Amino acid sequence: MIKEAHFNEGFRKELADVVGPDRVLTSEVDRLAYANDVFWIPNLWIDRKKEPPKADYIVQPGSVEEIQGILALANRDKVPVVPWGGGSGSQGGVIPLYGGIMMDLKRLNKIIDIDETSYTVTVETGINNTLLEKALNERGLTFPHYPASANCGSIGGFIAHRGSGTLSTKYGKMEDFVLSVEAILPSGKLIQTMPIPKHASGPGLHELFVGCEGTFAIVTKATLQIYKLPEERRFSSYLFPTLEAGLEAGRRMMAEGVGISACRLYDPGSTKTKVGDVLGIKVDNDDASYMVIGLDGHSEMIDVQEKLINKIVEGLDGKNMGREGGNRWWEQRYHFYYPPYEFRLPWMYGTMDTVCLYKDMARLYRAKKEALETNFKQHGIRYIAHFSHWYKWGVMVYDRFIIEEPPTDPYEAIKLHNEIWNMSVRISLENGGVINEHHGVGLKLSRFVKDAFNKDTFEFLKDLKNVTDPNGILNPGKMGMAPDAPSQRGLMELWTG
Amino acid sequence: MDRIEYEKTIKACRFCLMCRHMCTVGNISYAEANTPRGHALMLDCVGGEALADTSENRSRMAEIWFGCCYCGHCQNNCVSSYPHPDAMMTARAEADESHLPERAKALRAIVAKTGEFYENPVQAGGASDAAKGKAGADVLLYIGSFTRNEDSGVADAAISVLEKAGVSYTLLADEKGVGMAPFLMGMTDVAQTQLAAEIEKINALKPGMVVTLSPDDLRVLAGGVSGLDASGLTAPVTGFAAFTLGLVKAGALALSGGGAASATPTAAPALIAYHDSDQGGRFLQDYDAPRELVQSIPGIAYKELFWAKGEAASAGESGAIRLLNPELASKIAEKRIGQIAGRGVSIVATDSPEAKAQLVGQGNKDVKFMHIAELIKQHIA
Ligand SMILES: Cc1cc2nc3c(=O)[nH]c(=O)nc-3n(C[C@H](O)[C@H](O)[C@H](O)COP(=O)(O)OP(=O)(O)OC[C@H]3O[C@@H](n4cnc5c(N)ncnc54)[C@H](O)[C@@H]3O)c2cc1C
Ligand code: SF4
Ligand code: SF4
Repeated sequence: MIKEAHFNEGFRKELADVVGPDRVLTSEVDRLAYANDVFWIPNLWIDRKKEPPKADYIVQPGSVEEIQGILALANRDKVPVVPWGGGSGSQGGVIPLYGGIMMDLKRLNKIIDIDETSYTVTVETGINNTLLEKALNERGLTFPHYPASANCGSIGGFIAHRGSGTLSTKYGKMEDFVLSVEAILPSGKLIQTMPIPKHASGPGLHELFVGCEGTFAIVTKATLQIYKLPEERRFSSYLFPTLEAGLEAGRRMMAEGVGISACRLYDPGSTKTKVGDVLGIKVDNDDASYMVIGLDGHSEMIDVQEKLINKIVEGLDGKNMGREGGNRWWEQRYHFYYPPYEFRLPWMYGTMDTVCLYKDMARLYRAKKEALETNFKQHGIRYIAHFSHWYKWGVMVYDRFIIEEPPTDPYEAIKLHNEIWNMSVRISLENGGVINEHHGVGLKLSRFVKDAFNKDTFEFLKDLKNVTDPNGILNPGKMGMAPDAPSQRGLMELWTG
Repeated sequence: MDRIEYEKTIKACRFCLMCRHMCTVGNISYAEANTPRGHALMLDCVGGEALADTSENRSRMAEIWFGCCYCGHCQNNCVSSYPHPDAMMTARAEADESHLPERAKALRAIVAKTGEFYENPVQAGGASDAAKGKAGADVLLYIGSFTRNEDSGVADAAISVLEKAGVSYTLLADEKGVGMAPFLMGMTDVAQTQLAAEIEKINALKPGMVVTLSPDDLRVLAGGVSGLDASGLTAPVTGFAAFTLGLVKAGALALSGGGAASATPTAAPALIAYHDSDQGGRFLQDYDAPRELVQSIPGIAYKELFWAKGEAASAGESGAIRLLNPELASKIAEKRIGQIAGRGVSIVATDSPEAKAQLVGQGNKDVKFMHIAELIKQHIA
């Protein structure tokens, strides 16, 4: 089992022999810069001037061989290794609670191959999403995984968390883009999955690494599906008298195979606040839900799709609000998450996204909204949601809580934060949902993984981890893989309540 | 930069990652501490439990402030227009002398002595002495520190263009710089004193307009550098490209397709592109006039680079990084060359003499880099 790591000059020198002295950073200043992602707890902790857990060594490998060299040293001395993609995760996936090595993968950022016949791209996984997209756009191509964090997330990070983007309803989630991966196990073994995902040649091993959160392996390369930039992108907006009418409209569009690329349905709370604030669209009706539909491809096909959508909307008493609101949403789609509209300290906030079958969604949403608004009323909690990733069988709810004046004592604030999460995840699981749809588990939801599976299944997951990482060096404490070793200053216990 | 704006910027950037992908230095060192978020986080934390206020930490921080290349990409890509580069210059100013990197200390000493980055600064050649210090001219051509000292050909070219167009012009007899050198070294008071003195000399000549050859000087004189007050300047100020475009449009300057545009009368025209410099591009967003000017040359073929305007990588000409860390500056320019080379262009014009020097310094054989004044001079009919 891993040991709580501490800085050791001899070990630093050995790391420097592997990657070069400039690529091992050990100053306190450098280590602080890797002490948080966007998980609320470490950010609150830092904001309250408290010391966050820090890695002992920041190491920046530039090749597979260097990663293998680092892992060999870490395995030998049982030193934890945390992969860092872009540090944009919201779940504390990169928090180095046990110290050790922070392996910054941003140098692994090459585009290895663009296949313009099969429309695939092979990249090193440290590449930034926006920079990859720009390079593809130069050739008239696109990787239509458009998350709000494209500017800061790496392809490896999106693979690790099974991320999702704005047009996932048409193009799929991260796991749908991945054809194959190359990954390095803690033992140094280099895994190369089948070149294509659709085969009958044994299990689809790439799935073991898509969603692994750096706990099983370090994903170093991926081949991804790409597309030609579409001839047209068209967005329209609609207003429904109730949330349920909007949910039904989205369900019908998916069931009838209309082929939408985006569907964003705002609950009445978000319609009043977020849609009003960011898009400047004021809605008087307190029960109404605003929807944006996106279509892309050939214009002639879009004309037909638009007609089908309008028919569905009219049948549910929805109102067509025109294209302007839709286009404005597309242009400003990320503004919701950026200053000054993003949620920020000193507020307490959390995004609790989950996904379930259509038959369960309205119930899950209502149950959670009621429970949080009732039980945390004294804290002035607000609960808002939108529904943004739609499947044939169900839909994802991107629901968020906000407390504008949380307790000033950080210990009390964290306790309250974790109580809210405990209730939220329990309600998701009780109503047919999962612990998370696209932000991953990380540290934040680690304690719930065992509840998301039955006992034997969770044991099986742990067995897999033990086989691939017998010393437990990779990303300890994440994805339900809690080690026995004590965390830095006992923060694991406090932060994951 | 005033204190309130500085603190607001630090608070906004400390947990925000939204411009990091465009951070020139962050994309070379790959160290989070070199990015806007990293900068702000340490400034916000220093002195608390998260980051002890030690000499070692202060020295590393100063190394980071003097390692930011002031390219403006963070501000240009900021989701809310925070002036992060100016916060970096404020951090440079606030860094204690004892913690500065050795090169920064040495440069500060030179700037303290001469006001410029040069031990023995020179005045512009090219123009006759009679053209210097002339009151009441239509144009005062502000040569700029770099051009005077390192690339006087740019000044000569600009003077030729003005003379050909029949513009009455003058130069300062003793140009000293508008304060950019001390500003970049964190010597804000020295910078302001130098700027005020230069403005006084310019005002005394009562020019109809000030025309600059470097966007650095344009930005300062136009009042665009937070912390440097240029409000005393009485004449309007503009860049060489915008001014020359006006001459072309007014029919005062005719251009021809000869010169660099084609080696022989039968050869295909050279493909010309434009490089947006840090100060002219990201900060001043002066995108249209230089392009229009280049495209007004008859018979040339213009190509817009894919990585252009706000997305053009820096050439490493700003922030005194060429002098503070030549190796880093060279890596920055190399990245920009990577966005230009192999796209078929054979000439790239730019408004910045410093950017030109950075790009020329990479020794690419297929592309010729020119200041826009040099390109225009070659095409005077
Ligand atoms: C403003 C904002 C908006 C966001 N919007 C979205 C959105 O629309 N959709 C979405 O899906 N997410 C979104 N996120 C969350 C975040 O961007 C994603 O979770 C993303 O997957 C994290 O990628 P990263 O490269 O930053 O990973 P990190 O935060 O660096 O790491 C995440 C996890 O992956 C592991 N990891 C990283 N790289 C590798 C690798 N190569 N191999 C193995 N493990 C690795 C890390 O150890 C960690 O456990 C948003 C975040 C922000 C700040
Ligand atoms: S400059 Fe803007 S985008 Fe960059 S970190 Fe600061 S607030 Fe974020
Ligand atoms: S000015 Fe340039 S190098 Fe400095 S922080 Fe901004 S983007 Fe990075």
